[in-house]
Amino acid sequence: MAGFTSYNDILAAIVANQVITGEATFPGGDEPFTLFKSGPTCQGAGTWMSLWYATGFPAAGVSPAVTPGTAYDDTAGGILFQPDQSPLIKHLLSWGAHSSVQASYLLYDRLVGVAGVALAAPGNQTIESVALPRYTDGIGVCAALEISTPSTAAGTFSLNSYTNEHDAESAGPSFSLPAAVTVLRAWIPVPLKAGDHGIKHASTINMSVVATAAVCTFVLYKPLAVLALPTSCWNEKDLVLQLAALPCIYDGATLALLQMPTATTATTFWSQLRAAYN
Amino acid sequence: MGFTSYNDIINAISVSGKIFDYFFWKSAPVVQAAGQWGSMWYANGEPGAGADPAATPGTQYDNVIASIYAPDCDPETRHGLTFGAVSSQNLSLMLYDRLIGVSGLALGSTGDKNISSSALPRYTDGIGVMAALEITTGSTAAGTMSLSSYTDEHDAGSAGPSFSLPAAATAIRTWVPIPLQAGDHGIKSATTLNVSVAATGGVANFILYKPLVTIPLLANLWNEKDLVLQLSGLPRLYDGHCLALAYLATGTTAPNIYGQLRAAYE
Repeated sequence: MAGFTSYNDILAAIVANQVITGEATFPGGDEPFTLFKSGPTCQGAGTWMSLWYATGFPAAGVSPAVTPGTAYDDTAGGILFQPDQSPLIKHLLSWGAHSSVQASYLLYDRLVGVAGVALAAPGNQTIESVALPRYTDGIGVCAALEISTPSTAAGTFSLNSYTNEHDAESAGPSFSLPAAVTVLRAWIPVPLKAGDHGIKHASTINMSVVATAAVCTFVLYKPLAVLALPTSCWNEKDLVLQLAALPCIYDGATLALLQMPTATTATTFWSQLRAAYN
Repeated sequence: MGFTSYNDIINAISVSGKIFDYFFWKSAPVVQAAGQWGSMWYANGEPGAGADPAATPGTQYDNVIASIYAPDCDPETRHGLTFGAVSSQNLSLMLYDRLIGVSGLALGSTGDKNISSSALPRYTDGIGVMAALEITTGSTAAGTMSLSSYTDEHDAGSAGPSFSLPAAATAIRTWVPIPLQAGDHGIKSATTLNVSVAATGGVANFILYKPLVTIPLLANLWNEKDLVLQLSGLPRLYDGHCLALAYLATGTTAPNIYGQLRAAYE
């Protein structure tokens, strides 16, 4: 039977070396996946920032393709828990980290990216995203804009055509950038229509007020866990007994990080993840 | 049905995939002031903004869009496992099950205001169910009022003490808890709200709700509670649940809030 049926099952899996170190060439072993990132200058307190392009380990990710975009599948730049283990199931067991500036960090599975969405042009911009590689029912999948060229004027947008988790066409409400002058790598969550609990595919985004100069990547993602980090103070959460979470890591998962800063200061980030499968 | 052990929970998540993992975010409204509750029912984000309930006898909330809800799982039972969030401002965040809403109570004139609320869709024994006013049009006078006729958890007619809005100029979306009569541990339905001193201009929804969990949030720092081992809460999410958020403010700046709720069923 795939999956863990008890805490004893988890202990047995660890002892049997059914753990993931993140090194494709070295499955098993008892070392956690250790990573570090040097984050970008932030927009300001309260605005999410993407660490996808941040240098460190894993190395910086690259821009996805333009429409229909890139479906992320063990993609370089991500935190990869290889090799695939299907039909067995992988779960995160713990997540700890340290940050040079007080912040919260969100770990997510990066599913689809569509580069080159111009927010400075009025009217509809084509997204027509590729099919989801994981979470294919769309439930819990979120959308965001990842700024790749900053704006010099705030705009107003809406995701005016997308497919929700029920395979129905839908249109979200309007939203704006967090400031007139946004910074590179700012991450803006895109609201869906009330009642929608996920998104499978995006067709177009509409600019009712253009955000001068801005270009972004449209991203579909699944949030997994969030961690709060006081300045230079390690914090770690057990995701089995401390939080009854056990986030699943599907084969092909391309995990990445967002930062919720408390200042504009660029931040260095160290982290360890433990995962096991059964 | 239901979890009999922690291993049952692990099995439900890992083997059976009976997990509801929902990431939410809200751009909350400006609130009245530090120490006052604000409703996020009408706030944009994920889930989207809610609509006004019906006028008397109101709306029974049952998996209403704009709420956080998971599919029905009867005869199995669903329980909250974790609740975490981050906010751009210091505040306390409450997750509650929104049960009944009755719109259009005019607080700007004196006398009895008819509520005659519908029957509770969940927590039908009324135990632990609370009442509140959700301001939909701000007032310019504080006013004084009381829930002058309601049915308590023992099916007895009851009347609450007087209370006032938190300020003369009460902001839209302010959430005003309504006191019940001493000894009452819940409310099943409300009949009338009596306004003895008018809260000029004020209009409100009357809400019946069940608080589930509250967490404190320091600005931009995630906080999360386990509801199984850290807090032995395991709050039940009954079929039809309609989860919503309210926050206790520390200032008047509108916060942005991002959070995550995990639940499982067996």
